[in-house]
Amino acid sequence: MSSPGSRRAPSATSSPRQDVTAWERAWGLLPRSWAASLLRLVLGLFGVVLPPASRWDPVLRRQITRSLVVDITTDDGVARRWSFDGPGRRARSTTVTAGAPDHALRFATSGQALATLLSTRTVDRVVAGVVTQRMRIEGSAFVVIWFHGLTRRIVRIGRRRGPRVRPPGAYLSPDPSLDGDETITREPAVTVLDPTWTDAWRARARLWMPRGGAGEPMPEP
Amino acid sequence: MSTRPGPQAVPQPELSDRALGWLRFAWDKATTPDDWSDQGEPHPWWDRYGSPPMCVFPRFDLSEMAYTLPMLMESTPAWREAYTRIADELIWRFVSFWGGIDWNTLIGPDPNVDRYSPEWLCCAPEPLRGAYPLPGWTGNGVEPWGLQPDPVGADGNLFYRAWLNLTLGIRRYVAGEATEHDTFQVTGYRNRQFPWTHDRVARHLSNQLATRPQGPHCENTKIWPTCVTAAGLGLQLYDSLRGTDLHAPFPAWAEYARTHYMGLKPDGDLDWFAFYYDPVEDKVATLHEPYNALIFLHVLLPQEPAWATQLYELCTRAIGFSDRRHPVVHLAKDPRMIVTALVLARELGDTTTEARLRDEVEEHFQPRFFGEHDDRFGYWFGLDEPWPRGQLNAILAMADAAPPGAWSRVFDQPQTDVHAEPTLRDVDFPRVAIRQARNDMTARTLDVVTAVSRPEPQATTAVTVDRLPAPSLATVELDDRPHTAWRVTGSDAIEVDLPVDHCRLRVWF
Repeated sequence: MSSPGSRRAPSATSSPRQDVTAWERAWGLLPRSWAASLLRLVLGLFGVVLPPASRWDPVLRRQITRSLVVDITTDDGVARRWSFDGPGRRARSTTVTAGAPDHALRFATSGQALATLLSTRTVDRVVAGVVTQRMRIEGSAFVVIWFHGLTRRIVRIGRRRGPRVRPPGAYLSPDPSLDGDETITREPAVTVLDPTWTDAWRARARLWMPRGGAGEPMPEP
Repeated sequence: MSTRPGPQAVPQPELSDRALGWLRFAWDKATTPDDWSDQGEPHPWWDRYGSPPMCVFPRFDLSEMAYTLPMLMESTPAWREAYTRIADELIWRFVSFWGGIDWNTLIGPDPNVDRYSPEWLCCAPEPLRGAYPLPGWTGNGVEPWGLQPDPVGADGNLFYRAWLNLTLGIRRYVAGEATEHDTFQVTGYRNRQFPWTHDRVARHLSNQLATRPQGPHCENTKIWPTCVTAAGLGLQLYDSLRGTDLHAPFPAWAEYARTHYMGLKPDGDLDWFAFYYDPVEDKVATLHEPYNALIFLHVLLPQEPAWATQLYELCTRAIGFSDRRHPVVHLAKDPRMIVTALVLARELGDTTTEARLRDEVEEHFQPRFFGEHDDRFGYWFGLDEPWPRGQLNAILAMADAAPPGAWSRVFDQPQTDVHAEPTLRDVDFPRVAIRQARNDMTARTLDVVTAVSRPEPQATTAVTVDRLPAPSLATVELDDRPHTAWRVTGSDAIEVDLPVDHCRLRVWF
């Protein structure tokens, strides 16, 4: 019988990652006033572009589904707020006014914020920053990921994660010759649950999946 | 005091109070009747709320609850009837309407693609958010797949049949009964019934793994490394129990996944890992790499230990679980990442990370006993719900159920010999629980340790020990003293009277 540790025990504590990377150190060399000004410019650009884009870009509009407020701030005095109108599918941006946001991403310094937001690996850096307690997320980390996705609709920094070439061997449509000894029953496509199966409709209405889509508040993933 | 030499005093595992408490609650859930047909609704304690949107179906609670059953066997290899009963109760629910409710009712295109919350939209590939069905929406009936009424005999719905096969395999293992050719009915679309056997399900899975290099898909059309790996795990168990070779296609898929579903940075860190891949859209969903990879490692580890260990190290480092310089951070409200990492840490012998995460669990996840005699156990996660959340507890119970390495041993080294050895039966469970039940075939003894939540010293109960070679020649000791309250009841069986109390029974055979 194998015993615990008979597999190679992980050496996970032997080489912790560096808390502050060279990239972040480089941004930290900027004088604070310069960094703050540059960050205000960057956040201001997103503040100026995102709202009108939310009026005419269907890709952005379809993702604005709830009314919420997101702040990005630094401890050295830079702050920007985005307010999302779910029913209207609009965004607007202001300086941070009174009232707590629903979600916030807070940095210690403007240099740190620039290093993170202008990185090709923003989400990784945010996670690392939160883990090492150099950054703070208030509210949901998933909303931060969602917001980051919206900004990438304006300016995409870094490639999308995934294979660089299409993986081979895709199975894209039914092929009965591959069913083997079993027969897969395939019937014509339908677009909706049989309306006469009322018991199924009643049961389905209890599921969180359709309830979440109907606007009912649901927990995060 | 016994004067006979007994088995060598080698410490053997026994079920802890928490493990017994979890088993007690699992028994409650499994054996309390409820209606899983389209006319009814599962009892609310069946978890259809966990890890939304993809796991908000009670079937996940069923399959995850099965995980601990063979692990508990490490302490009670000679007593398995309760595990078999629980497994049977899980399986009939699994193949019911509600067991396949996602495949049976989430038909056609997802009408809510642009109405989900931002948190849920993150589960879609970034460029498709707001125009793409979320994981969980099975989309049975969409082109080009058409409506496929059989949840098992389908192109998609892999997560259903993969975990069905695994649960059937667990049942076969704990029961030791050759049921792989017994027919059961699977409820499909419009309540149509589809006859299947365990053997056919396993061979169907194996064929799909062999003929689809990317892996079979779950929702139309999403390929999940988690689910393909679960398919492999069930086949590995099937092969271990039956001497077949149905798991053979899995290593090739694992190599494919290493090549196409993940990427490493030049420094060896994890660059990306596919939460799932959509071959129609040719898009990968990457929620967050450590989460994407961590959540499936417990089903990967018994099959590909080197790859699983590599991913485990990369993930736990990336999210700081193994970094003693910083406290453990709860990145997401869903505790699944921490829970899974704890189970893996224990399984792999990473005692440092296990201790860190165990402290976190003890402090934040509200472990406590509950029920009439405080004999049920669960973690409450601060959720203010009447019962412990099922899916999370089922996984976390793996860390309480057995010694490190037990999960992998289920698949690598199943204890199939125990089915032919003396076996304890007819225990009045849960009135009496079994903390340990083990044969020493060299010393020819069966040792049993009972546990009761409410001792009744004046009351007695009877248990059966069968598969004895010569029952009339057996001798029995109770708490190290000769015990005469027993009788032969069959050609290979005896019945022994016990107090309804904590006691130690030894049968010499």
